[in-house]
Amino acid sequence: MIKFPLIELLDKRSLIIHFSWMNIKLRFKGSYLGLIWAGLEPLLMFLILFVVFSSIREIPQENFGIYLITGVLFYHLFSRGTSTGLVSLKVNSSILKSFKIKKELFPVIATATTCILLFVELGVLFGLMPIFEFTPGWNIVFLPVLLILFLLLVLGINYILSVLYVYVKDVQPFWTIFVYALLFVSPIFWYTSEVEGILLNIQKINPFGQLVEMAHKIIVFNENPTITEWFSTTIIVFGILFIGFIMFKKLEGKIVERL
Amino acid sequence: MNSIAIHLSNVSKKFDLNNNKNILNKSNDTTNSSNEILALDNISLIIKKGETIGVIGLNGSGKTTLLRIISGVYQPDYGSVQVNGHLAPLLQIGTGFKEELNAEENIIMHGLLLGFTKNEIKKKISDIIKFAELEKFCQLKLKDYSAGMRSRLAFSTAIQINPDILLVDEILAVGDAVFKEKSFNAFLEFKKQNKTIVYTTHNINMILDLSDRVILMDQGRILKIGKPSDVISYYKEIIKTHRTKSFKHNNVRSINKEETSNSEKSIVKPIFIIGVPRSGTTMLNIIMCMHQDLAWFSHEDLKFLIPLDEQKKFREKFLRMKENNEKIPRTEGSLFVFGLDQARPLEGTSKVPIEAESFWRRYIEFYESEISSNKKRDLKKILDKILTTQDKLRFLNKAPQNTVRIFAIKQVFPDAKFINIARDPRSVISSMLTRTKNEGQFNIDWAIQEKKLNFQNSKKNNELIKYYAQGYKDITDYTLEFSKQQNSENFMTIIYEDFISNPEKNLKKLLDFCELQVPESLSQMMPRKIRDTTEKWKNELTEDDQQKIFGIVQDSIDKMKYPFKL
Repeated sequence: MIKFPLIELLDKRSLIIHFSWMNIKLRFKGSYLGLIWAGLEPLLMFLILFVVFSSIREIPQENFGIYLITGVLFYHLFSRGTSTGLVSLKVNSSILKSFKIKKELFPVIATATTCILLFVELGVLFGLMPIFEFTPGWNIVFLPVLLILFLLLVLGINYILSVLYVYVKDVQPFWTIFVYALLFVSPIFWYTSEVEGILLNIQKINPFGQLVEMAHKIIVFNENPTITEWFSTTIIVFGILFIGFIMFKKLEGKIVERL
Repeated sequence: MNSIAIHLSNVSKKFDLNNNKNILNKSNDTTNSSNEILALDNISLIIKKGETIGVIGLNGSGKTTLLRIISGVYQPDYGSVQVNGHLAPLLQIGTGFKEELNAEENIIMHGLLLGFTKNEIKKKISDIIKFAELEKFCQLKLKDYSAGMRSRLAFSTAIQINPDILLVDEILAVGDAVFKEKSFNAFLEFKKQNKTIVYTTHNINMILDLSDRVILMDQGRILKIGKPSDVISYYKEIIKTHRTKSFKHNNVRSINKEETSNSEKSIVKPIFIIGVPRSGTTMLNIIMCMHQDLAWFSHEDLKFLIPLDEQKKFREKFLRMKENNEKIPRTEGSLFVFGLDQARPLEGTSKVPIEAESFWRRYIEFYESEISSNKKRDLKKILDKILTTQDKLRFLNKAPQNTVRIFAIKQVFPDAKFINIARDPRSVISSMLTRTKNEGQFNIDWAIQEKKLNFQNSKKNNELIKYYAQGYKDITDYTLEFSKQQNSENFMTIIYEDFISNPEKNLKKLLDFCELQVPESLSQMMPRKIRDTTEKWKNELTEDDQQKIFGIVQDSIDKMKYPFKL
């Protein structure tokens, strides 16, 4: 019988936190700017998109800057988080071959690393608000709930990707393209009110896009997403997490031999 | 039940040899023996608390798999494993370590993986570093550590955190004599505390001195278990009476009898050239391949053999291309000589890109029109078996690569000859320095290729050079020791420096060993080739640089009391 190892994860929190910090440390080690890159990466991406989209079209609504940076931050975190999660078993193969350790810890560590980056990137978001003369409304209190949902989505996807990647190497290039496509099919630089047809249909079934849209409502428009939105997104996120975990447990048996 | 530390009940473990097999074409047929190897076969074992158990056996006998099953790294396919007590596994050099972190950071990580809290580990850091004698290097990144230093760090961490059960898989084989003695004493101290130790080794003296019981493994089964003297005598008897052939795996045996029957006529005595990295295996390969009966095939770091009649075809093609001034592809050349280059003695120093499937794709594409389908099938089976044995049996991978390969090849080609090259570590260090001179930087860490050290920063480099030199000395010692153990007319060791000091004489000796004629052209060609390569640095370095380099190397070697003459 498969049990979700919540208590075990709590027991291993020291290891998870240490490994997550180490991931951050190793990722930026050797660069001159170090951890600053964690915020600088999405900031530069935002600047490029802002300049391009402000130039090629009339800005449809006010606060486009905050709208765009919110989407970019979520996208950047999602992209980084899942790409780290995808290789989380592979890069720790020597550990898995030498220690008896719960394999499901590694996607969790990748997600915890994303969580650390999230705090840095939130700093970028709140740092830009005064520049755009923007003050968030009281609905921002719902942001932590949304971020928890977001991290659970990343965790669920990391469970799936990490274990699949051990068996099928094609997962990596596929996921790279998929995440790239998400940049365009999610409401990052466009508004849902602007689009119709295929983009709108994709958005309806895109849990990442739904989370970004809800973030826009909470942060930019000071709206509380509807009960239906909260409910459907929560169901989808927990569904992906559940499927991911079950899939991971089903396939983890021969991981060490295949690494 | 409390007196039992480890209990294995009918444990079996299979390995899937088919790398291509993936999740999409997963088969439930577990009886397909051609794609699987039974690494452990119905093992039942009780180890009591406080016992010290030595595990011996040839490479591939299942020792490492047994330890990985006990440690919980592998799950058994059948049977059950019960472990009572806190267990610390030392299964592979450098594992549980991150290359980019220093010793202290790695100790914390290692300790966390062993189940300790951060505070518990932090209290022990200084003791661990002191025991490992790495005080001077604790701020150095792991990627700058030699295999011996990594081994010391891992062993020290495991010992100092005081587990109930210690599993050690040949990890001390790379340490120096002083540390080996220290480790041995640590083992004795561990024993006194009524702790359980299970270790694998090829060191018979250690087995006799330390073990309460010894397990002799063969083909995944326990061949004998009992008092150390009894088991060792039995083991020695097996080796002495050349019963090693009975150690072959059933699959390999069937290949010998059936699948190679067509090829054995043409592949009489393939010559395998082995050696530690940068010992000259590639050069010797090339030299050997100048022989008229030989051609050479080089695919990156792999050299493969092929039957003589096929060689002639390639030879003709090669000459034809040469006459026509056509550009000769890199994959043309000698095929009889099988160079086992890059022994991979240090984790991460030599990443040989061995991928059997991709190699075969390229191989078949290239020789599609030249090999008959029957021959192609036969060759594929033989070579795939070699590649399979060396690459796919991951439980063998921790062993010195050449040792594994030699055993594997011997099983497929019982009459194969092995030329083992050992090289003076001083030369290796010199060539490392030479190699990077052109880049304007002194990059001792040539294998890792990331760390660039400034030549002027000599104090730090002296220490590194000393440790790399020590590493190469250990490898060379091991290589020589291994070749002595072979004690076979099919095994020849040459010291590379001796070889080049009198190449003509040594070439004759070498070719006599290979039972080949020495053509005039070859004996003339070789000294020139060697001169071109080995003396190249003289033109590239100033006299001051040369003296400086040799001063550093000489100083460090002198301190080590290196036994060979330059």
